[in-house]
Amino acid sequence: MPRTSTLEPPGCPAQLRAICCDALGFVKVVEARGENGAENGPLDVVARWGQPGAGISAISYSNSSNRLAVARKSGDIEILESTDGSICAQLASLNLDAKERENDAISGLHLFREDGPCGQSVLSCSRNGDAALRTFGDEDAPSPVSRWNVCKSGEVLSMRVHNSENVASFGGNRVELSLWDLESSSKVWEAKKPRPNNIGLVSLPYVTASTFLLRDDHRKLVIGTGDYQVRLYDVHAQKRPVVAVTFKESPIKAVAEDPDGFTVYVGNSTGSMASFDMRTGKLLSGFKGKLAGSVRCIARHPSLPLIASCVWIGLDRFLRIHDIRSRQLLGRIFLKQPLVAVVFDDQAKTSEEPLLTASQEQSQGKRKQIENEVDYMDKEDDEYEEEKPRKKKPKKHKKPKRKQAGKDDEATDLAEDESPAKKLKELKKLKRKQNGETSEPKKKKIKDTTSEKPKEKSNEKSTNKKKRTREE
Amino acid sequence: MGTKRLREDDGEGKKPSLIRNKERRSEAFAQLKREKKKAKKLRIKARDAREKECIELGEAPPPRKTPRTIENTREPDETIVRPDDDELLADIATDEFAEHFNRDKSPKLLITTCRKCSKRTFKLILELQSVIPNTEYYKRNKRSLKQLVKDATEQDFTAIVVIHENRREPDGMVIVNLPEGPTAHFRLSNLVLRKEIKARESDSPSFSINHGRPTSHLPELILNNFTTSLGHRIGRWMFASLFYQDPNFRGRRVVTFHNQRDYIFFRHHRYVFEPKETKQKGEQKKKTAVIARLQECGPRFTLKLLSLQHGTFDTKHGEYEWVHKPDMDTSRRRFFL
Repeated sequence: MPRTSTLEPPGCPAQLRAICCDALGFVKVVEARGENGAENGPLDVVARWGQPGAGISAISYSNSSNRLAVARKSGDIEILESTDGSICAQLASLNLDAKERENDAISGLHLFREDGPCGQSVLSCSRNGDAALRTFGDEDAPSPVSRWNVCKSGEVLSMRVHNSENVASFGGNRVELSLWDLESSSKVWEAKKPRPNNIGLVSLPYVTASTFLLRDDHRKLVIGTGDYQVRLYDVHAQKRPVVAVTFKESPIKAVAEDPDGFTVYVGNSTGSMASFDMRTGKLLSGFKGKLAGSVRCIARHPSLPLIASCVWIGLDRFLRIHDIRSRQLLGRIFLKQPLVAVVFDDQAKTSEEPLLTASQEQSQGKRKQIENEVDYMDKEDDEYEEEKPRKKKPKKHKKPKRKQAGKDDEATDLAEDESPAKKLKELKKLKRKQNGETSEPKKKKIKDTTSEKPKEKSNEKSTNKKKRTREE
Repeated sequence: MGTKRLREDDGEGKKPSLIRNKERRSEAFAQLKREKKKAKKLRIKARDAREKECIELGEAPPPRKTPRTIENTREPDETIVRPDDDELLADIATDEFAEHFNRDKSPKLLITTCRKCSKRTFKLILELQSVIPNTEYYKRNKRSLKQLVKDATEQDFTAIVVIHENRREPDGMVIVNLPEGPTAHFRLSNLVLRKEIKARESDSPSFSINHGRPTSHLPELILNNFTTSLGHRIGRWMFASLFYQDPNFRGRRVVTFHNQRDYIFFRHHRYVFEPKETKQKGEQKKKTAVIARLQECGPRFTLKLLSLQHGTFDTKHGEYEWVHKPDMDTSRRRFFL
């Protein structure tokens, strides 16, 4: 007898609540419901808010106030209560011209925390780069509080506000990634064009998705580009990307960060999803789940080790939930409409689980845990101050001086090595003893190669000299 | 080895495939076949007798068993569209094809080829022009498809059809709906042009006709088995929006897109209703009954969906609604359209 049924995914944890918005104008609340108090259950649409017609272009969710901001394609913004979907405030479009409104949909939206520096307000950015900070709490305040233009030409596709709510990043098609201070509404930093390639062509900026890598530091930004790349920018270090990795052969459409501070989840327009380690730029894992359409939005659950990927349009009008640890598909639900964005409503915080980082979750044995901790310490503390200059230096000094430069680097490294690095070495020694020198840590390898190369070169030189003498 | 020999020696009642002597094996096999056939005949006879009996008694006959096929054992799919779905109706009212189905816009097609093409592709285009009304052929030259999309939208075309070929044989079809998309990419295979459609001796007499020549009437459209939401988008909207909505029934022309196991079969026919006299065995009387006869007009080909792109053609920065990937083929009973 052939298999006539599909394999059912195992189900999601019962305290899960996700809010999903679609291009037709509906806001749908999806919950996992375990039968008879079971821990896991299939996904189900619990509520549907809104009317068809006024399509949604962007949403934002504020965890502290349990409110949801929804931007319609017409340019209007609605603030909804995330518990029952009732509208508590409405902001009309800033565009007075009806024709312009259609072309100038809101591409980025952020609802501020109530206790944050901006209070009850919303930051929106339209495709033309018209950013506006508006309040909806008190009527006396001027509306908008501030309004500025992010770019002269091009199309803004992504806007993110950092967790501290002081800084926002903007980027888009022909709009280079830039950081703006929200208080003074002035540009703080702007990325630089990438270097021309071997033919001499410079690719135009095409930022499709962006996110801040760390919660407490706004200086590390991860973006996805239309040129299939995932890039890490470090405002502190340089204006060009620190790490750039290409992922498959279609534009990246969604990027989400993990609270562990280095893992990034990436989705592209042909429905591939993967996670990257942004310290090294290495692909950690891909996610399976029969994704067939463009990934529009990825959301990471704040407390549980889950990500929801909301896959856009077509047959794939699906919401999918993956486990980060096993990378298994836990549940999926067909939501009938082309989806735009998804957020996790963490209101039902029943779990007392501490915040797990992906690296810790993936580790199984003690040894691995040690390794991770070491890596973490190492990279977190030293990487961005130590490693980058090292990468840079050989570029500055050209070939003839390379040998010296390498030596200098090592020397400086040793000088800079402080307590964490010493600990690291000790731990590594221990590990090597345990493993029987099978698995050598990466950093050591890099050093080895740098130290070896000049030696080889010198050898070559000496052989060349010998040859010459022979010829003579 | 020993066990096999033993089985062989058992003689009758064993699998014929285990018999080593060819003559005996074929004999045994033929015997088995005969018996099976006989048993089947008896079974059918008994079933028919039972049905007849039931009808005479005025009872409902026992239900006939339906054979298990790949189609009816298809894996259940949650994306299959239900007609009473209110969200579906709302979606239909606002999607890219709404203008066509509200009769605000009549279809106007642009048809071209890939950059270098051969005779067979031209012939196919010529025939497609006679199938789909209001189609204009434009020479491709060296224009890029993106440029073509721009030009065509300026000239108020509603769709572009591009035929690709490989080794002088048409093998691909791209349909771009204008001005907002979507774009579908199909693999084209099993092409039979009009002149190649010929009656075979093995055909039944009602079909033993050569190809017909289509008239200029607007054709009727048959769309079969497009069930899922993707299927709807492809079949109901993409294909249907290429044709006019009110067919001329006088012309008796039908264009069929028949989906079976994700392969879309394209056929073009002319039908006729003919009174036909039939003799019945016992009574020697002639009865006249109206019979529908079909004549194929061609061309005939098969399409397989490779990808559906959101928006107009853009392979570099485009976003896909659906792409076929090899890891989707987990079961031969899983279909997407």
